[in-house]
Amino acid sequence: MEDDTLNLLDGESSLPAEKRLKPLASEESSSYPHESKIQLGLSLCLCTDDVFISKLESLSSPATVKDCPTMAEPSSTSSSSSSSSSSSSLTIKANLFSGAKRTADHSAFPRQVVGWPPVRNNRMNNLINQAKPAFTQEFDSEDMRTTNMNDVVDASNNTSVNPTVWNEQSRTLLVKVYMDGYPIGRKVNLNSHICYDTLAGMLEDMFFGSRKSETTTTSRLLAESSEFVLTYEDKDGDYMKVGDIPWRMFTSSVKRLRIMRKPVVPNGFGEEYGCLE
Amino acid sequence: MRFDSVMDRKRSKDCVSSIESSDSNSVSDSTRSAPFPDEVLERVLSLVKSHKDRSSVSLVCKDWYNAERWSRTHVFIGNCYSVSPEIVVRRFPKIRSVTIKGKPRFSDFNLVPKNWGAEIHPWLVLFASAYPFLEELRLKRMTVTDTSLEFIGTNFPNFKALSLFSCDGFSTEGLASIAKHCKNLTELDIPENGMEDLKGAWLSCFPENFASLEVLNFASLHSDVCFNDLEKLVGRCKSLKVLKVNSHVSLDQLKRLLDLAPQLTELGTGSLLQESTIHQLPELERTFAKCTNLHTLSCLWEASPVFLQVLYPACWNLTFLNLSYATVRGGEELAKFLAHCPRLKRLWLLDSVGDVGLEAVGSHCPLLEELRVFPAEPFEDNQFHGVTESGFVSVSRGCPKLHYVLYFCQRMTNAAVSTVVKNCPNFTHFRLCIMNPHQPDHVTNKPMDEAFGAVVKTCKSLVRLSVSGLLTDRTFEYIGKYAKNLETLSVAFAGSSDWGMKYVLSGCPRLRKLEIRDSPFGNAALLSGLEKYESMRSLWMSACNVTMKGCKLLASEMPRLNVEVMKEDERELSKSDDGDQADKVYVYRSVAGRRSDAPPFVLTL
Repeated sequence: MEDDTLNLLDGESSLPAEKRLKPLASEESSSYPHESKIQLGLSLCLCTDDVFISKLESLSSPATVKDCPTMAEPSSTSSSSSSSSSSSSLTIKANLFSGAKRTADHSAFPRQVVGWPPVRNNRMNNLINQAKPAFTQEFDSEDMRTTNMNDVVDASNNTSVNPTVWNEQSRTLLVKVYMDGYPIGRKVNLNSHICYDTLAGMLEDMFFGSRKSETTTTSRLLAESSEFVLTYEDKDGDYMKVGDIPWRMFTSSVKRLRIMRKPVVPNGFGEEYGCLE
Repeated sequence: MRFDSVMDRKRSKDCVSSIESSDSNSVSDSTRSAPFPDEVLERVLSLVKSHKDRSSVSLVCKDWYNAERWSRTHVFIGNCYSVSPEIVVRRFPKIRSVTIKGKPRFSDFNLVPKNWGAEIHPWLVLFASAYPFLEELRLKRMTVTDTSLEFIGTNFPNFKALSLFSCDGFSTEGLASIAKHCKNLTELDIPENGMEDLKGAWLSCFPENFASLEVLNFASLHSDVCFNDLEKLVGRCKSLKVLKVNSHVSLDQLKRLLDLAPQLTELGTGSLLQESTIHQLPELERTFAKCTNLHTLSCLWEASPVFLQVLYPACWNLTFLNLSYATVRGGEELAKFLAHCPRLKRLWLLDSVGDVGLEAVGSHCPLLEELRVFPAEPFEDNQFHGVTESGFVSVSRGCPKLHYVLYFCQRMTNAAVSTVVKNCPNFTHFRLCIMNPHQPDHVTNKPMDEAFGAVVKTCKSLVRLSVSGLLTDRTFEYIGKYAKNLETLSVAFAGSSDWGMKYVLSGCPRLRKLEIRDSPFGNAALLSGLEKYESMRSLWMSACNVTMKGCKLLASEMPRLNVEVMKEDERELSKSDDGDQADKVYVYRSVAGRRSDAPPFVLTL
């Protein structure tokens, strides 16, 4: 739909008589034969957008800025200038490919950019709300939920939204669980457990099927002899072994769980798990 | 007839025409001998509804210009700063309905700081004196305060319809004012706003005898409403056609509402989670079976399959199904649902349905025209979830009428997109969002240039395009060369050099909105569009290579454009050098001059 300013521009301008468009310096209207291309260095992608751009600036040759037509000096020629776009795009393609591999490694960059992917806040809030079933009778937790919702929205102004949003009075603390070699992730509600054993028991049921003859109190998953180890990603993004810290501390810092296959390491486990990626 | 108003108009018309004698488009008094008396012309023109047509009409001659302005009852303002309330009010004396859009679209994604502007209040103040009988107000991305809402309630006795989309600044208190004061309200539509939920009893503020509501949409409100009052309201409002409740309304409660309002044409369910037993299923099904007029259905939240099926009897006439807030497990569950919706034209889903869900779409929705697939977990880096290129292709095979797509995916290939547009050559809106920036074709590892090339070459009616993935200037060369009908283009993390933007600016004759972020376009690119921006509504560039110097130059060459630069830190703005990067640039044409309400972090050059 055309908006009405189109018309208003023609008839209703309240501005003084318009200035005639001054003819610009010759460089402006030419086909920019000497314009240098910005060398895109995607290896710098691992930063927020502001830093990303400032790095781009330092990479681009100074001639770009000087191309502004009002500058009296002639636009400088870059040594790599070429007026045919196809050859220059080949150079750029080469640069981009080296960066492309990095993104294929699923770096942290894409998920830390403000406003990307372009999903409205409202939609994000509703998806987070989905984590909680909305029972009509109990609303004592609603106040807190609403307040925390706002916090999340504010936080999302600068960072990506943490998918495991929760609060003190929440009924559910859902975290994702992945197992190596098993493509489908599952979700567990940590608040329905009070200790590691029941959690591990439930995970076993989920991923290994229930064991009718299980009589031991220590679950297979937590046992040293198991071929798997249960780890979790904490607030700092490190993977730690589950079970080392008090339960409440664990639930307050866990972001997601991962059942890893133990590598065949002769000398025990411990903090190496942080770099087992 | 309206003799008095006709005489008044003739008198004031003489005054007005003297003010406007400097019109460049006037064909002056020779048209006095025109065959149509003004009354007839106005009567005829009052039947012209489309804005484009009305704009054309007003350019024919001065008489037609005047007839058009006197007969117009609805004004659409695409950018609230392109024109001032004074100008609008002066030109159009008989407006009953206003639609205004405010902030740039990227404000939806937190790219525009708070308090940027786009406040409705100054408009309302003028409308109160110029259009006391204003009936409808539809706002998108405007700041609306509770004071403004109260102002609406108390100053416009005929006020009927309020629609707020993606607005902010108000709370449930404001809604309470509307409910309390607007005796003739027919429409209260408030989806997707950044509003504050103060848990007030706003719904209960509708007076006891109030019964005129036809549209009520409070689906995105988080707080509870008093169900008894809602039930009574629905019971009283016999003309209610659209009801979209929020998640606090349970299935049982929804049933009670539907028993009172089987005439609904649009329904947004609450939470389909249910505490009642299986025995009540037949009753639920009967209730839904009575809703034979339903053409739009949106389902919220966790829908257990056994209760999902109660909806089936109501789906026969469904043309729009919105499951983008519901976790429907893909494949069978979705297929069963879709099998009950043979007339479906528009479908919104979450990507958790997977490719297998999209296959179901392809098999069951031959009449599908619009598909939107939203990410269930946009911030998860998850290769195994979501939809891929194969889902996209499945849909295109089964839905040849598809012309609108919004598709969030983790990966895509050039070949798939080419196949899709070959199957569906009539795309008008193609919005593809590959969620990892700079991601190439995941099979060939090449840029996604050819994909978008295929889109613009094949889809001649393309009006809106959003690009993503690894893209070089080649993509933009294609766009500039082939996308002759393109009006809106969204670019993010794309392009290799200034040429990209230049191709587009020199190529797309109908371009009206261009929004770019995180792309390597600099001053030369910005300035190449010098002569184009006045024919466009707006240009947005953020995190690009544009500097203050380029912006200043643009501003000085084009006085009818407002060139606004935003910086996160307003102190930086005042002492910014020419060589400094301009973080966020928003350029738009305006007849109102620079805006007077710009906050400190916005600099108009």
